[in-house]
Amino acid sequence: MDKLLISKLGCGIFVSSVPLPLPLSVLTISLHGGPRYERDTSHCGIFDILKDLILTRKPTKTNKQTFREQLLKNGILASSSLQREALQITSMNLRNGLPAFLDLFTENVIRGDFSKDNLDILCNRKLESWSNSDKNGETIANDLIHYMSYHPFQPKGNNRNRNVLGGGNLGQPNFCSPSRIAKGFVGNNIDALNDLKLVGDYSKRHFVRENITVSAMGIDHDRLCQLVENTLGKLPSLLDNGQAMNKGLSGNALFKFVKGKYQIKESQYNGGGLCCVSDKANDSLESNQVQYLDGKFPTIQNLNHMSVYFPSHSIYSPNLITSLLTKFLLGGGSSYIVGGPGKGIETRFYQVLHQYHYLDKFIAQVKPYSDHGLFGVDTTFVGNNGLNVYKEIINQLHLLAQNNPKEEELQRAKNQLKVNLFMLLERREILTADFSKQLMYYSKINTLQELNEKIDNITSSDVSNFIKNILKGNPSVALYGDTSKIDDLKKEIPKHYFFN
Amino acid sequence: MFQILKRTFVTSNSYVPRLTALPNGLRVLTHHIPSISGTTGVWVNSGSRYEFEHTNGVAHFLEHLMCRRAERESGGKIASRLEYLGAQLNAYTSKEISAFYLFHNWSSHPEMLRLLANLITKPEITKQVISSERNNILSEKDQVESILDEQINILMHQACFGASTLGRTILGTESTITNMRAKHLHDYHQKNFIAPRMIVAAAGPCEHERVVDLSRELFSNLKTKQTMVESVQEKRQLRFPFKGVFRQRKLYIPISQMPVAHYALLFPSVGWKDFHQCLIERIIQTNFGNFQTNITSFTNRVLQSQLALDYNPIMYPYRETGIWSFSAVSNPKAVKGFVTEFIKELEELSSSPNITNILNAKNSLKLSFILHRNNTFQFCEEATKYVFMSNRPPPLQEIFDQIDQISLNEISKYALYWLNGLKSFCYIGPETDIHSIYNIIYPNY
Repeated sequence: MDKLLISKLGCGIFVSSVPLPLPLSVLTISLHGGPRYERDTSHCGIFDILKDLILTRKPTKTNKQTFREQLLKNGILASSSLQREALQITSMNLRNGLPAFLDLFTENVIRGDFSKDNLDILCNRKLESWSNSDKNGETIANDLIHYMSYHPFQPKGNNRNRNVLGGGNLGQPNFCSPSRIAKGFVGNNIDALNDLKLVGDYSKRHFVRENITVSAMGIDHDRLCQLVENTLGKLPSLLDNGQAMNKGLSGNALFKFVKGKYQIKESQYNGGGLCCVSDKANDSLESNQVQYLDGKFPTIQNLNHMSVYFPSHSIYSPNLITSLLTKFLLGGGSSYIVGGPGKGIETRFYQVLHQYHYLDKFIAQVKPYSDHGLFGVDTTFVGNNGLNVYKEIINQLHLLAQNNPKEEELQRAKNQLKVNLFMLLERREILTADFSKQLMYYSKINTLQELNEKIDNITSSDVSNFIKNILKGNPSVALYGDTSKIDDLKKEIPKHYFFN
Repeated sequence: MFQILKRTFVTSNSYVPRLTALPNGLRVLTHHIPSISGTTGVWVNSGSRYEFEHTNGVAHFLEHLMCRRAERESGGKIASRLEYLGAQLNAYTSKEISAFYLFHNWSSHPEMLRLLANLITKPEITKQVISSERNNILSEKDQVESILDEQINILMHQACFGASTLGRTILGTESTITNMRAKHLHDYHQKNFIAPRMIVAAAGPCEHERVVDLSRELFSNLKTKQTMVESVQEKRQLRFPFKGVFRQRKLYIPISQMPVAHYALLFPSVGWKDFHQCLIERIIQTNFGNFQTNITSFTNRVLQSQLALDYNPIMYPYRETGIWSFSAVSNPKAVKGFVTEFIKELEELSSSPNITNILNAKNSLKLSFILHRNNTFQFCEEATKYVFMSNRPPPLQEIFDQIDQISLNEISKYALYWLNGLKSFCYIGPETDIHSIYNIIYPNY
């Protein structure tokens, strides 16, 4: 057993480490950031750009090397990832590279002036990847379902207007769409320069001490604390007088405090209904219900992507583990991924996948956030089968709500959940990312033993009750693909509204 | 505030792998890692380069049958048991390796090894299962061949290795898959799945002696040497005894509908037999960098001049040969510029390599060696590769020392050898002035 050490530094940053004698050190910085912190509709995609731009730097008169070149010189491999309310930067380096990374990164963040050349290169690459990616359908369906669930306006009769996004909620898109890149970031016009400044402003605004948690492996804990104090500890505070630290806030309370400072409203589930976007590049803007998706998103396989979600539990809910277990119990998969024993081939949704020839993917998903969450199903299919797929999803969920799962099925889901966790956490960069995220949300780290106990304590009636509860919410449906024949689906969805 | 919690992890590279050879030639390799879960598998030195022309695809076919047996056997009881335990069965076939492995909670290790031994030593090869699996393999072949990168990979191997076994595909042709018979599969199994060519590998909280004892019990019925007699047709093919000889080829496939050009410069590689030279090739590879994880000075020049939308130097090392490929995607008009920039960089390497760049490349290479041991499967995968190559998994420090010992002079010589020696070029994309590109690549064209 190895020791995990956690400290809260004088500067307010939570730090955890596993001081193993590794030949490399891995470090993850997690940050309260992401699209839900974008203040305005016109700021869509800023965090998506910041995620990549943060690992570049503007050359100075004395230092012509790019940030990447400096990292390379020190044997550092850095990457960044973006979720709706978290930005994570992970560095993997030979043992002596960590101080250099923290130094370079902090200097980069404090300066916050990014190079227009780097932005142009980045945007051109993003546009290129949009035009070639076969993941476009999944990406767009994922953003659509968030938009549908958390759009800021309540539905008003049949003429609901969902064309306008409000900033600061979970419905803000995760990605920077091609049209947004083309309109704003690329070129030398005033918009592009303003947007570059905006990215810098967001960087300065969010890289503050209260926002940051750090987790590392392969470094002595005291040494890490000292390094973080001397580098990231120099970042400004969210408040000049450091009130957050003085209040001794932690976990959810600290998170609420941070969100309050950024004027982030609690997310409200406004779902119920269908939101669709056509994948036909020739379709006019009017045929798409969501304005920000007015670009062209070629898909390679010509599949329809449909997601059906219900309101569920937040990250802080005691029922979060039940929702994760239910996901593994329902299971599912994709026809492209070669199946085989141990990959959920006996789960209910995997059986459904093989029952209908037109289904390509049918998989249960959980999307938990700090103040709300979603539980549902992601599907892809060919042809005009949206209504059939939707009915099958509702049917499967009702079946589970009405009959408790058998003990063997429940135990199988528990084992699969545990082994999947073990498998993920074998990777060092995933482990540090998980630790720093747990510190961000809870200000502590749950042990695997604690997690195993929670999983073992769930009963079959807990699972059925969980499904019964989520079925009390109105279903949100997002469809990306062929939207020419959706009238039947539109009529069907309200039939499952709880108050009908 | 200072809080200490206990938790288990996959941890260190400092734990040394242990290797034992059993009397029948089977080798058992373990890597003790104090985790809860782990990987148990069997790696076989077989694969598509050990096939004959008329049985191309048999190694991959056999892998399918072995895994499918887990689903069918005892009315699906094995599959249900694996599902129940959350254990995941995986397998792959490459040109030189067939691997079968399970990721599982370590408490079920003996049961998992028993299952693997059963699947591998007693494959169920009947007409019925062959015909039911044939369609799956044909549809997998269609799926794979619809991916452009895979097509290019196949073309590269055809260009460099021609009619030798390394030039063939792993999945086989439609004709060989359709005509696959039980005898072909039986023969292949008898010939290649013999103890000296197999390694039982386990990484997790394992005790080496227990894994050795269990392997001795479970794999005792394996043959110790090849006893099969080749047919006349097969003997004729043995004139090309699996040897991969790199040939210089130019492959130009103009497709006017394609918006961008996909192309690759291909150089001969020494393969695994000479690890030192292999490391030099990898340093040159790392020096060129890539767009995703390793932005080098070459990458910056390419990005700034917009010469390529993506590029990737990849090595395909085999036992005694291999390909060092430099593939790229560009707008058709930029291909010439990119090839020129690449040759220029190679010329610089051959005359006066930049010491800082080479040091950076060495650091990145060391990091990539560590990152290739990032979970229990990768521990097994890496270690078995070295055992097949040199019968010993070297400690990381030894590899790092070898990297440090490589001199600038050696790198220069290697770059010069590539500049003046054999090289192939593959191009798929819109029509272009291919001769002007050949003029840059081949000085005497």
